[in-house]
Amino acid sequence: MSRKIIRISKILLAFREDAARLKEEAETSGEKTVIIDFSEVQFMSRAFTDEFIVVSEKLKKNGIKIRLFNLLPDLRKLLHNVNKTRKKIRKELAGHR
Amino acid sequence: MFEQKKKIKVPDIESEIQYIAKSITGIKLAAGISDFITYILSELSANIIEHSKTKTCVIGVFISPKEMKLNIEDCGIGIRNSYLQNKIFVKDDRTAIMIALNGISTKKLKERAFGLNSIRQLIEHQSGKMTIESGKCRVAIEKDLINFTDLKMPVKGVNINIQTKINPVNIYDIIK
Repeated sequence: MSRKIIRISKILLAFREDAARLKEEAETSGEKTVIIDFSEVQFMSRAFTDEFIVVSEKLKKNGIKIRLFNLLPDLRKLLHNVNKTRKKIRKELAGHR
Repeated sequence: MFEQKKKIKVPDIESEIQYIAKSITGIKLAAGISDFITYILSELSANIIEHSKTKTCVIGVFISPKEMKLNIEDCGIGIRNSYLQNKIFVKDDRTAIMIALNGISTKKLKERAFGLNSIRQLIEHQSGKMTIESGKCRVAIEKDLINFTDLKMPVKGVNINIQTKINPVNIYDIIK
């Protein structure tokens, strides 16, 4: 099974643009499975994390599976917490319609 | 110890934050502090890039073994205008700062924006102080108290100052 590996070279992923660039790279790879290598990443901002979740959802809808490799446990926790909060907000907003 | 205050062009913000992040990982600090500082700088820088419409900003960082101070200021459109330009009517500068602190996004009404909100949580956890000045309003946050002051000289853009002691912290237990 062929796949694309994207290696992130920055230690800090601070901005939403970083997630947008990952999305572009995943889409232009032409692969259905994209592995993102976070080995160098020591830090992610909430802004990046939030956008990364949005980007991952869009890619999934377009048939591209994202796998995360070597993401630090604390950063995985941040991703989980931000995703949980997003789902909670969507649920609250859906309930108000 | 680390001390720096620079005026930088917005396109150079990222390289500046990367430089500061690398520099402070080399300093012996209490557990979690480099993540704490990097997080705050990243979120405030992201706000400048996404909302301020400014060309330059000032980033000041002071870190000693016992305390840290951060200052980020821009001469952009300010918090209230950022909402107004996204067709979110906000009565005045005070209201604009408050809803930004409570996580209301300028981007889409159905989204939330937690940058300032999460920074506030972190500062309160560290028993620190944060002031935000934008337009005609100054908000000072310390512990769970918020004080509003009218500014005689309005501030163009946004000016944020943060001061806390250096205590161990795990930001990933606090940020939601």
